Formats: sequence, C-alpha cells, structure tokens
Amino acid sequence: MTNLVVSNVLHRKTRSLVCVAAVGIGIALYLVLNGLCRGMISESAQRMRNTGASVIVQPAGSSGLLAFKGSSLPVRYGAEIETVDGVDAACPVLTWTTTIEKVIYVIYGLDLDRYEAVGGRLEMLEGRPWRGPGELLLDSRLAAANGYRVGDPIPLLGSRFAVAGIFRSGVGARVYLPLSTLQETMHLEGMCSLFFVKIVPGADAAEVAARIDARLPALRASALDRYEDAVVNEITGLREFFGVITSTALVISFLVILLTMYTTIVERTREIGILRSLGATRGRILRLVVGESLLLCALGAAAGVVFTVSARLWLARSHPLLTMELGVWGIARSTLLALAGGVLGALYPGFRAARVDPVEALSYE
Amino acid sequence: MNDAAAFVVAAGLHKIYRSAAGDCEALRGVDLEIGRGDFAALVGPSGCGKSTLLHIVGGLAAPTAGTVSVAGKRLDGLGDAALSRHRGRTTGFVFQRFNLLPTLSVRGNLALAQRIRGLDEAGIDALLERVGLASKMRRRPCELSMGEQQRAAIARALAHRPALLLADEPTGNLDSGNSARILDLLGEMHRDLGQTILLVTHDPGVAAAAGRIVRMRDGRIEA
Repeated sequence: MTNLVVSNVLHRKTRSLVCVAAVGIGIALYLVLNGLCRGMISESAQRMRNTGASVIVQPAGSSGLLAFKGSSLPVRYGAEIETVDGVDAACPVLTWTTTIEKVIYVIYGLDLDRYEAVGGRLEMLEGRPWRGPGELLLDSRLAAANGYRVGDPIPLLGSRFAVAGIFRSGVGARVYLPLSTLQETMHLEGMCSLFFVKIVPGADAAEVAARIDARLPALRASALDRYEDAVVNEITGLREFFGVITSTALVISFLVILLTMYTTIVERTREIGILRSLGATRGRILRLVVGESLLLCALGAAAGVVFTVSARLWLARSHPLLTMELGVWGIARSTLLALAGGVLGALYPGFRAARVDPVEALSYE
Repeated sequence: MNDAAAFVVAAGLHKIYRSAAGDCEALRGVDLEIGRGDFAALVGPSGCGKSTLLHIVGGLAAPTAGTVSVAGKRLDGLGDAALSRHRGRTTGFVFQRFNLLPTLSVRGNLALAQRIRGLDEAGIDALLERVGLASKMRRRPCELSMGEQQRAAIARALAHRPALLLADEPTGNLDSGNSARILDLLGEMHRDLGQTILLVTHDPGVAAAAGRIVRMRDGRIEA
C-alpha cells in the first residue's frame, strides 16, 4: 500500500503540490508568528538577564513590561534597598519609550558607575562611554540596522544627541542616556522607573526579593530569572494568541486535507472498487486514505519549515531588530500539528471511501 | 452435477436494488451449481442479471435472499473482513474495463494485489512472462494496448492461483484479434492451473470457448 500511496501523490502532481503548499503555509504561519512572539520576548528577557542584576524593583502593582512603565519611583529608595539583607548594590534606572526612525524603543537613563556596580557592563565596540549630557550609547544591532556610526547625531525626545559609543548588543536596552539627562529632558528630576539590584554572593534572589517586599511595601521586587514568564503572564491574551495561532494552523491543515482527500476519494472511487475486488478490507482502504494524507502533511510540514527558514532569513536582512525563535521543539510541534490535522482531515473521506459499495465503485465513471 | 462435486452453489438467489425511483429485481430466484474445475459461460441479454450473479458469487455484493457458497463456504451473511478474505484468496476478477490501477506499473499492479492478499511477489515475473508482458512490466497501463491491459488484468487475477476465476465480459472492449488471444489465454490457464472459471458474456462466440453454457433471462436461469 505504501507504494500506492507514494505513486498516488507523485501521479497527481498539481493536486499534491497545492496541498503541500497549503499545509506548508499553515505551518509557516504558526512557526513565524509563534517564533516572532517568543523570540522578541525571550530576546528582551535575555537582555534583562545580561544586565548582571538578580532582582528588579519597581513600584508595587506595576507591569513587568518596561514599555508600559511609569516613572513614579524616587531615586532615594535606592539607599533603603541597599540596606536590605542580601542586597549588594542598587542602580536606579529611568526608562522611557520613544521612537527612532519610526521604530519604538525603550531607552534607559542611568549612571554607568552604578550600572557597573550591579553587574551591568557595556562592552564598547566603537567609541567610548558618554562624557556629557548630549551623548548617548547605542547597541550594535540598532546601530547596524540604521547605519549609525560614532559621532552621528540622533534626534531624540526633542533634542539631538551624538552617538558617543556603540556597545555589543544583548545587554539591557538598545539606547542608553545619562540618568540626569533623561530626568531633565522629561522633567522627572529625582525620579526613576525601577532599580536593578545585585545580591551578595550566595544569596537567593527570590528570598532577597521577598525581603525587599517586606521592608518596602510600596515596591515590588522580582527575581530576574523569572522575568520571561512574568512578561508572558502579564501580557493579556498572549497565551490565547499562541492558542489562536496553533488552532489556525491546525484548522488550515485540517480543511486543506479534508478538501483534498474528499476530492481525491470522489475522483478515485473506481480505484477503491478495484482494491475492494482484490480483497482490501474497509480498514485497509481507511489506512490508505490516512496514509496518503499523512504523506502529504509530512511533505507540507517540510515545506513549512523551508518557508519559515526563508522568512527568517528575509527578516534578518530586512528587519534586523526582529528576533525570530526557531527551535527543534517548535518544528516538531508544528509537524505533529500538521500530521494531526492530516489524520483528522482524512478521517471523514477515509470512512466514506471505506463505505463505498464495491460494485457501485467499479461502475463509477 | 452432484452436490459433492459442486464448487459454486447458488440456491434461491434474489437481488433487489432499491432506490428512490423504485425497486429493481435483478435476480429472481437463481439456482446454479458449477463444478470444481469447470469453465462455464453465463450468457444472456444485457440487464438479465449475469453480472449481479457474478458479483454475488465473488463476494462483491450480497444477495437480498437465498444462499450462495463457494468451495463449501457460505458467503451470504459474512462480514466485510470475511468477504474481503474470500475475494482476496479464493477468487480472481477480470473485468471488461480491465480495472488496472493507473498510477502503478503492470508489475506494481500485480505486486499490490499480492500484498493485499497477504502474499509475496514470488512468481509475478514468471506469470508476466507467460502472458507476454515481461518486456512491458515497468510500464503503466496507459502505455499498453487494450489487449495488453487485459492480459495484465488476467495475470493479476491469477497471481495468487485462485480456485475461482470470475470474468465479466473480458473481451467486451477488445477487437476480434485481441478477443481471440484473451480467450486462448484463459483456456490455456484453465488447462494448466485447473481453476473453476465463470465467464459472463453476451457474445455467443466467446461463450463457445467455455465447456458449459448457462443461459439467463430476466433474472432467472433458463432451463
């Protein structure tokens, strides 16, 4: 029967290609959208972890999403945080969301000395740290995406800043300004949005966070190693969004296979009669239909991975700041999804084929 | 013919096709016995029930009433799996329209049939040699002449050496030259392999090739 399955797929090339392409598009849709969402979140979380801090302290009840953060925290809280048992150092950070070249970024305003004290080290690839209020630092990905070089002027927050240095991408924000510059520019003197906290060696981040919460009830401290989960949990509907993408891919596979196999069964009614006359049972006919569907879906899944890898390469060239996650598990999950859609989609046509009356099938024109 | 020698036994067979347009009684009490190793031709005008009787004997259709047994085994009342086993092991079908699978080669058609029957491919090449298709076994049916396609279909029907060969108008789509060759082939196979053959035809010339002629009219066997 395997031979017949393969020969059927090869014999009906156009039908097979359309089916494989449609399943592939469904799989690519799943992988690209899922990969972009997860990639952006995990890349952002990785950058947070790379600051070297173990705990992040924000106003109580605030979001983990820096883009939605306010600036209602007095900088003086830093001294109080540093008195908590297990805390080594705290660095106040004022975050602000703005656009550069029509793309939204979260920028950090901080003191580089304090940042280094909590473990945040910016590895300069070009230029140097800022020396005055009119300078900023860019990460290498943003600089490469926009073609910025050291010394270039950048209009930002109603002022013009010169690029003092370009640091290796992957630590904290993509744009850094001196804390005092950002405070003055935004009329937020003495305020910050959060604190990065370094804990003493051997201390447990979650326990230190709990102690900060207990000491300063107006604040909310969280261990940064759980930042990614916290972000996913905080974005309302993100899990539902993943669910919708997954369901859409499944439904597309299901419908494409259902339609393809249904059409195929009608077209091959006579062949089913022949197989029945040769002694094929209903179960064997069902297996034949499901087998053909599985082969088409497996090819579709492979096509989907090819589409996805192509999309990823294209995105990397055209939108270098987008991060798309593509892992073995994602591919395995999407392949299983396609196969599940294929089996479900083939069941009705398969049962229909199995119930075909052999004599009627043999006389089918 | 006595009961002990009968290989195919049909008794009081009725077959009614029901549809919205009304019932159509294809068989009206058929009694028939065919001995083991017989080559019988079932003749009669179109619509007299020949093919219906053939399908019931082959386990492709179930009678509305009556009994049918092949090699001592009752077919009426059998389930799908048992009937499929009967079709795959005991019988071989040859159809007017050849009914080869178009996506497979000639050899592929035979190999698939053997796999469905739960048998290996041993003997396929020799059989194709015997029916004169050894050089064309890799071709697909559409690349063969009609006579060659029917020879391939006969080879497929005989590949598992069935005890019963059922042929439904096997020369109906062939010219006289190819018809003669097919009848020669069937006769030769019958002599060599000793199968029981039940051949349906409305052509008296074709029926003459059989050792026994059974006439049907209006769903009944003529005396």
